[in-house]
Amino acid sequence: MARQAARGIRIDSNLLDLVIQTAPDAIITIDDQGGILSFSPAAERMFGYAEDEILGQNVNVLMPAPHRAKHDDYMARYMTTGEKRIIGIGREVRAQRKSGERFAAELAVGELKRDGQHIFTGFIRDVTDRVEAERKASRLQRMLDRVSRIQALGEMSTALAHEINQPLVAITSFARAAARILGRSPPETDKAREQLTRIADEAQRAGEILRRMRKLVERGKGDFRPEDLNSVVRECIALSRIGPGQDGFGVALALADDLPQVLVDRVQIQQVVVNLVRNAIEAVMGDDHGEVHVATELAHPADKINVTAKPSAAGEVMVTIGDGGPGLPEEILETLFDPFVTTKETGLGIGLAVCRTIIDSHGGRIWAEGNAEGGADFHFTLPTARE
Amino acid sequence: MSAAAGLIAVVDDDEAVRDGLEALLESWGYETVAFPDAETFLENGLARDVTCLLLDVRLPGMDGLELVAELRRRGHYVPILMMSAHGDISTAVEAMRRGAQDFIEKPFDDEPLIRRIEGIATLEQTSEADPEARRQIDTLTPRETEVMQDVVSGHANKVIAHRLGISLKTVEMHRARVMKKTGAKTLAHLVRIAIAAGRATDQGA
Repeated sequence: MARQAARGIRIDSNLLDLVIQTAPDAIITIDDQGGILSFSPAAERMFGYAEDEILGQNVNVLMPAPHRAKHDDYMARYMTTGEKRIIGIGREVRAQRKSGERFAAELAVGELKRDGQHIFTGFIRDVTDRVEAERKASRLQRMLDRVSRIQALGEMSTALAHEINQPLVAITSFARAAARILGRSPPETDKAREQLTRIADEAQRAGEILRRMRKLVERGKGDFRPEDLNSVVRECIALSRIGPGQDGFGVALALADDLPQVLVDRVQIQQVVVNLVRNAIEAVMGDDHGEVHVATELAHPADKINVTAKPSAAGEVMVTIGDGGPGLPEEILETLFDPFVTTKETGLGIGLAVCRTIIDSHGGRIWAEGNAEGGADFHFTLPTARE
Repeated sequence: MSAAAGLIAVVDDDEAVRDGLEALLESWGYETVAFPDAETFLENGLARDVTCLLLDVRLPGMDGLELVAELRRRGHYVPILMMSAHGDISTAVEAMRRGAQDFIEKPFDDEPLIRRIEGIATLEQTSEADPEARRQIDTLTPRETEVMQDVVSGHANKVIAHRLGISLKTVEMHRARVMKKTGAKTLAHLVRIAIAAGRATDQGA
């Protein structure tokens, strides 16, 4: 039986056979009992069986447990119910070579009937390399996520150790003071009671600091609460100063009064601000004229407000962290927040990517641009919390 | 407890620390006055007759080091006790080089604090080239001098061992001998002696 195709090439069984013989995917046909009817050369290479030795065998020898034992049932169920679980759908499966080695494969199954007999054709592609590459990539990604968190943690832990000292000093002082005034005659109990309360407050504060530190290494959902962005920023400036050679750097603050609160995970936003401030400090290091400036302001995108019908649609708060450093090359602005993009000799290109991930998850935007001083301004916005 | 032990000015940006230190010092009989930053102290603190300034290294705006330098530049010789974070000795040493009398690491207990405050009050102002300090330092061997310079620069023993290529035990031994020969009772005391003898070299952190 032969057909005439449009361009005059005769499609006959010889040509179809040739197509099967040379197809890069393994092509295997089986009968309704699972017996192998044909086994293409690609199948021979993929599975390690010669066609001669495998013809007539049950196709389940190409499957690892538990599918090997269940495949006959799968087929019987299909023959009874007609319910298609793989035919015409295709999916990624585990397959097994003659050597026993298992591999990831994409399987597509077609069905035809001839003389009342069902014949199934399986098209199999070995995707070991792709799956392995994906696995490596996701492992690398997970590792990078962790590395960047740990790196931030290393920096933060120095800062937090300093922060923990503060409540400890207060606790020790109040406790000693309380002990002394209780020892007086008559004891000043009212004053001592007040001091004991302060001790409890400060112990709670120390605990809160530790919780924050632990959260840095934990993954998962952010802890979103309404926060005063200015206080977050001030705290970060203090944290950013800690580190070799970073003491005594002037940071010009221009924090807007009466900002509405923003709904944020405080620790995550701290990570962003500390990262950007440190970048800015690094950019002006060794430059007498360079300065770092940090500003917060209410950004009311007028067009947005006009478009949205909801009167409660709040504005955004914008944070700007700028430096008078050498600035950023124009060509890098587009990709600056992509992972592994860096202008630093020793940078990994992770910090800004993490910043973007965090700001994205807050529903804000982050971008960079050149400023009038020839340095770089980094901006990010955060939606204000609803009243 | 004498009611007039003196007036202590506390400068720290942390309200709880200020309140705690004021309560503590008052329980020891001192009068206190507290400021959240260096600028406020300069504006309001100088008018008072301050016995001792208890000053945090890390402050918003003008930091502790700058305040020490500024006070000395203005010719104010109020005794200064720096409060530094643990592991921030090099900054404290720098403060002493600029004219602070002593330092104490946060967190601290009351007795060491009071001892230092009282120590500062009775401390004789050591001049730039104190012959006694010079004499003490001159008894050190070259190796002991090296160890001392690293110690007063705020390096940990472990770091000093690495820098000098000697064992930790050897560093500890030299360090103990340095303290003994100079008669220094505390690290701050040693720093003071080294500065007075002009032998605290600036090696950074």
